[in-house]
Amino acid sequence: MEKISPLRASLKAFEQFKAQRAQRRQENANTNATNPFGLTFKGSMIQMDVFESSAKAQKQEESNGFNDKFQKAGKLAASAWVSTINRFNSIKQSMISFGSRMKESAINTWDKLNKTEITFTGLFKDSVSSLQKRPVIELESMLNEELQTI
Amino acid sequence: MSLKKVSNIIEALGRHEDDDSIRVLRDLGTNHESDEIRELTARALIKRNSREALEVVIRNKGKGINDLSARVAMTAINELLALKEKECAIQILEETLNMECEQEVQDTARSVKALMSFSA
Repeated sequence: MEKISPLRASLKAFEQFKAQRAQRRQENANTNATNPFGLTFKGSMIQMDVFESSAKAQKQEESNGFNDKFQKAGKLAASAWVSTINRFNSIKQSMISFGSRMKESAINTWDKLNKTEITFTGLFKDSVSSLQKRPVIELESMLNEELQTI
Repeated sequence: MSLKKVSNIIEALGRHEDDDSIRVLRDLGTNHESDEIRELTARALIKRNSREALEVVIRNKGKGINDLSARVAMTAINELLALKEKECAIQILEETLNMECEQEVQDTARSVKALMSFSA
């Protein structure tokens, strides 16, 4: 086994490191073409694909927000539509009941009118114009009777 | 009592063609104890605006403008003042002033005549 001095060993290690670094540089030459700044993240080279423009991200966020909003609006619209259907149903029911009540009341009124006899006899019996046509003696007796009740 | 019916009968007698209605109003209406009936009767007689009817409410003591109730007397005076044709009423008032009758009746007639001349 060959004995080497510590200085020599360290020089050898340095050269090995140098060679490895040169080799690595050669390997990364093509990849750096799309990454001119040679940025690394946790030891690995950042590729072009990971770059994303802020406008695009914002746009994507906006589109996501729009989708969320659209979904929410869709839910709201669906719930509103359901409540509208319920409301229409209740209105329909109330209209039907109102119509049936009106029909019943109309039938009752018609029956009452059929059974009612209207007579105008005696309605204008005590009016001034009708009393004026009567003889004075009759009016005198009527007035006398009425005054006695006071 | 139906006061409405009594009022209608009195009004009908006041408008009646037969002058005998004045006698009925004088005998039954103006002699009644109720102020309301006397008031209605005086109004009906004055609205008739005939000589015989006006004489009842102007010349008789305790009737029409000479009624003891101020309300009845004032109503009669107001009706006289409201007449469209006052000639007959003024003539009766003048005759009452020249007649030999009670002083109270003459004084009332004089006052009413003065009022009617002012309102004419």
